Amino acid sequence: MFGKKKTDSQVLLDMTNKQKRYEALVAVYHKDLYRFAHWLCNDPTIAEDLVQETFLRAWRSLDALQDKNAAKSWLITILRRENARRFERKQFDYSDVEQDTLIDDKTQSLDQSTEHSLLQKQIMALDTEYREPLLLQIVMGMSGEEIASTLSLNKNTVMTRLFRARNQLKEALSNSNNQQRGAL
Amino acid sequence: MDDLEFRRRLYADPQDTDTQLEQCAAQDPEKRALQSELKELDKSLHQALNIDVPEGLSEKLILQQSLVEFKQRKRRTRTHLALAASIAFAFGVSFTLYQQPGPINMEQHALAHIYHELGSLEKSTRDINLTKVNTKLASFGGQFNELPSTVTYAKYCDFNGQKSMHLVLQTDTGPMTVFIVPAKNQFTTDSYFSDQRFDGAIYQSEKANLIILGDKGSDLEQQKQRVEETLQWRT
Repeated sequence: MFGKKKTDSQVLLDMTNKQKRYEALVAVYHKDLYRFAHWLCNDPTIAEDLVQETFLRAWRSLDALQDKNAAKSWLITILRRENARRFERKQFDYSDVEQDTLIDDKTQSLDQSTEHSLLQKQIMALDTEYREPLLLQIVMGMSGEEIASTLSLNKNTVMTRLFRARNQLKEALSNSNNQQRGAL
Repeated sequence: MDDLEFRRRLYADPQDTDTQLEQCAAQDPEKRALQSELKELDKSLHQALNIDVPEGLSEKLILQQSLVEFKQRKRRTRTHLALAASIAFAFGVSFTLYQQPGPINMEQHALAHIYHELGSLEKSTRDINLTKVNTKLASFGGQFNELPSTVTYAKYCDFNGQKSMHLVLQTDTGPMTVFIVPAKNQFTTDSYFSDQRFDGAIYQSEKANLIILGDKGSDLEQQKQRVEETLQWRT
């Protein structure tokens, strides 16, 4: 109790370090994490909540994160657990594709944005088991091995799912292209 | 690498730069076309998925964290405060309990008391008669046959935690203060004390302790005799 002054400053130093680590973590990963969450649950509000909850939990157990290379999959694991918890809490009325919420306000040519929204629609139409590895690969930039360990699957399964995801997307796109051509 | 394997690997990861895969693509224009097609698909996928992040999200994340931290720290200081308060309280209680029986430092207490009530020494025209003084003294079991001299002040006082009689007598050498404290055997011997202004003495008797204070140079002994002559105790 009496040596407190010293330990206090030590604690303060630790806290500043922790704060810095946390802020760095937010700066590096919050965008990708938000995008991942968004495409996982297809709702900007829920995505934001998920990201907030994820970072809050990350802060609480930040001391457990020793290896900075593991940060990404660590955060993903927390976020996925939070997302799963959301389903435990209440059964979500899950409409397949809610395109009204997807507003692309990037300044792009009409063609490009139609193609984007078409693609977005198709991505959301994918089963979660195909969508999730694809998101991890493209949004989070993870390798096959990383995805496998994050999703607790073996690598071959992950590769197969990625294959099927792209295959489905490609087919769907060429179908819709044909339809468009047919309409013309 | 056969055709199917090539397709599988390419579909799984178009960005794969494995040499085998590259060689395979280099040999066959059709495969090369498929490769670039899939790379193109990945590019548009990337763009399609690259939605805007809500403005100020990172600030929000940092703010929420500091709020949580602040709450935790506040809770922590609150417990510290509660701890400090209870220690202070315990100190206070034990200090008062410790103070209660106080045979310590009668002299200092007498001086402090008199300085605290300096007004009692002022010359006053008030003349308290024998009956009044005796009424007050009665609760201690004592009484004066006659007043030793004019009494201008007679009150019950707390003398170091003990109820006592506080009298001021007007004598030839000025006002004298007399404390009559019922004896509880707390004083062992007679003692004398003084400071810059007052002389004082504590006299021991069977029933009570007499503490007499007067201006410097006053004859305490004589006054004591006067009081002892006139004061009687019921047996």
